Amino acid sequence: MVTITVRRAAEARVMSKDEADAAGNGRSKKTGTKPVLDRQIQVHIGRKLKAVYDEVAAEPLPKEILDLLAKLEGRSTE
Amino acid sequence: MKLNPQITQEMLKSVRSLRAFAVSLCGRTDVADDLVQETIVKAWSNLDKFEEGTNLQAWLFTILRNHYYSEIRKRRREIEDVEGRYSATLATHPAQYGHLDMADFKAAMQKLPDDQREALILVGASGFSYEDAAKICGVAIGTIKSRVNRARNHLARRLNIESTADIGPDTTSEATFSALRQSGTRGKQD
Repeated sequence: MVTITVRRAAEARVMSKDEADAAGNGRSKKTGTKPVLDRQIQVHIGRKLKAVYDEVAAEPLPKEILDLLAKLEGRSTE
Repeated sequence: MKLNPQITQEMLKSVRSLRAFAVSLCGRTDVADDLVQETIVKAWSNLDKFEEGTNLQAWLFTILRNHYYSEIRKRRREIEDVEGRYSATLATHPAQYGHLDMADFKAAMQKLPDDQREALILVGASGFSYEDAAKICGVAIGTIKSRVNRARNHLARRLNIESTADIGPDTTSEATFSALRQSGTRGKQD
């Protein structure tokens, strides 16, 4: 542990600007998106997502919404 | 005001998808139905502000989303029992193989942070481009992309899908879908 700390300190002291930039890039790569999910897992999640959504989208519209639409549509054709 | 009948038609076509989005935002159909009605009225009275040639559906989704965050969410906190309602709805479905799988998925969706869930739904279920989804949420395209990625990673972790092998054979998802279709038709008789 101690040796690592000492070495890091030493590296930091001699770090050139280019090296600092490179280290910075490395960091942003790490904090960016995690390794891309397996395509098949993505497909799996995508299908489930669609199924949940389409289940609701396939439901008949409730009466209040239908009434409202009919009312507005009627008004627009007047 | 004279309305373009084409716009009226397009608006009618969007309502079902708009409602599905509303349900996914608030997790309750009663609140979602109010939200949709308020959105329709708002959109109708602001139709002159809609730029023809741009995406009408995206415009409607934007109105709904803004209305949700500015009004409904405040109210929702006072009557918070989303998860209770959600599991109550699920419990009315027959316990069939594959349905539990779906219940897990819905629960995992509800646990996602709001911004990630809406990004994932807009892109993955409503079928919007990253660009339109970014406009709807009022953020940069890159932000939407990273939210979608984080949402997928969250879901994969919550559902314990660590590798492709965990998904199981394709017959599993087929069973899920047929179970879902059956429970869907049964649910309507209630």
